[in-house]
Amino acid sequence: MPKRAAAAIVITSIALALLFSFKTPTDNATALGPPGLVSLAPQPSTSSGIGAAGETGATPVPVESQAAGATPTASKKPASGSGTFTGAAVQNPFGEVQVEITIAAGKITAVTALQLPTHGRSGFISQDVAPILQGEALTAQSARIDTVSGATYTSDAYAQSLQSAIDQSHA
Amino acid sequence: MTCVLDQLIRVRPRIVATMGTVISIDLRDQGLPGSAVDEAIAWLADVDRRFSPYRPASQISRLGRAELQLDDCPPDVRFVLTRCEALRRETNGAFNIRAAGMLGGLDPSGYVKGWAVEEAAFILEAAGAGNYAINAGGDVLLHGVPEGGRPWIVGIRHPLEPDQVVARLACEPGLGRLAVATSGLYERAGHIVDPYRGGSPDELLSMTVVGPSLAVADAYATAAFVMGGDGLPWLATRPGYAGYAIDRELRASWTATFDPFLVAAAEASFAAG
Repeated sequence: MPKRAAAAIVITSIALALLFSFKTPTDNATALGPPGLVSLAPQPSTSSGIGAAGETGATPVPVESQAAGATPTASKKPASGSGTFTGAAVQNPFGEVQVEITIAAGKITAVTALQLPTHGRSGFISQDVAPILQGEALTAQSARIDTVSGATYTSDAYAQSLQSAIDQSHA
Repeated sequence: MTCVLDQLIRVRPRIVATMGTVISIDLRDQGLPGSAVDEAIAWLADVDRRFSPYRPASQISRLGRAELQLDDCPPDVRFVLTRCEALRRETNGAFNIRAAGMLGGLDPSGYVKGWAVEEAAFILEAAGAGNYAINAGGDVLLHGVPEGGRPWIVGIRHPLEPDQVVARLACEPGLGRLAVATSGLYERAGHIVDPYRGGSPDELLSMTVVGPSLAVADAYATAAFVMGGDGLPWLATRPGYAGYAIDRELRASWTATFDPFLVAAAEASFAAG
């Protein structure tokens, strides 16, 4: 491998390492994750989107292999310091995230998301309440529940509550 | 305490009317001294007497009228007000004991009830309780199991149908304490005020929050209910807590972190009522 090309790869490796170690500003949201931080659309040079995906601290595999002098598997044109690099898939609480980075003349020109969480942008799950009710309508007589969470009732309203029925049904 | 499943018992829960609502204490451990439950109930009554904004002579009411200074209050009053102020900042003002309710003055009820129940649970645990469900007017604190072979099952009440639930949660033992708190206006209209826009929040019918602390879950549920459509995205940033919202169109949405708690209809058949 020519010296110049090797130098270019090292430079891009540093650039990638810097990029992937970028932290998001909302560092208090690590355990459960901020679902809104991963954008659906390709985000050229948007570090916050990558930061959210790479927040678990995983380093893309191609960076390590290039730094060790191995042939960069994902690089198309290493000799010119340009190419497309694919980061390792990173697991976050909402699914896998993987990004592709395009480098031209040693500069990052594009960052593209290849895999996104299955729940998409929000990480939320929605469905109509009504179908659940049809299948699960529960009365005090058939309650397969131990206790009920709901908006706070007054002591007067307790007597009419499902919780009251459950309390009375025990032993 | 070591949980011995074959020593679990099922008796009618102790019911106590306090804090403007009814608290059910469902203890499943055998051989616990009844005095422990009496002590827990006495504690709840004491909190009601000192913290209720509906009692003119309570320390909270006197603080609200500036007849009493915070420095002159007992440590637990200072603790509660400090925590409420921290939660006001954490929720960007959506949880605000100065804007809560229609009373004027201070109304820390959205934190006090959950906190008082947590403290009562410490009294029960000190006496050896390891398997209990405490339901404080719809806010629930659980530990252990109800009987051998299955977890506690909590229903989320349908906001419009008092005798129906819209979802069930399984609370696996081993997680330690688990709290389930729900905010909504369908039982008592007007008791939650939007500090930003005034009036009652109307984007959601209910917001349920699951997490380790009942006091925090209760405050988070109130705040996320006030936030409306922004409530779930905000909850998703709170480590250890998950949310389930029902909007005006009776659509349920929940954070992905809430999913593991939900019981599918087919999986709930083992739980006898």
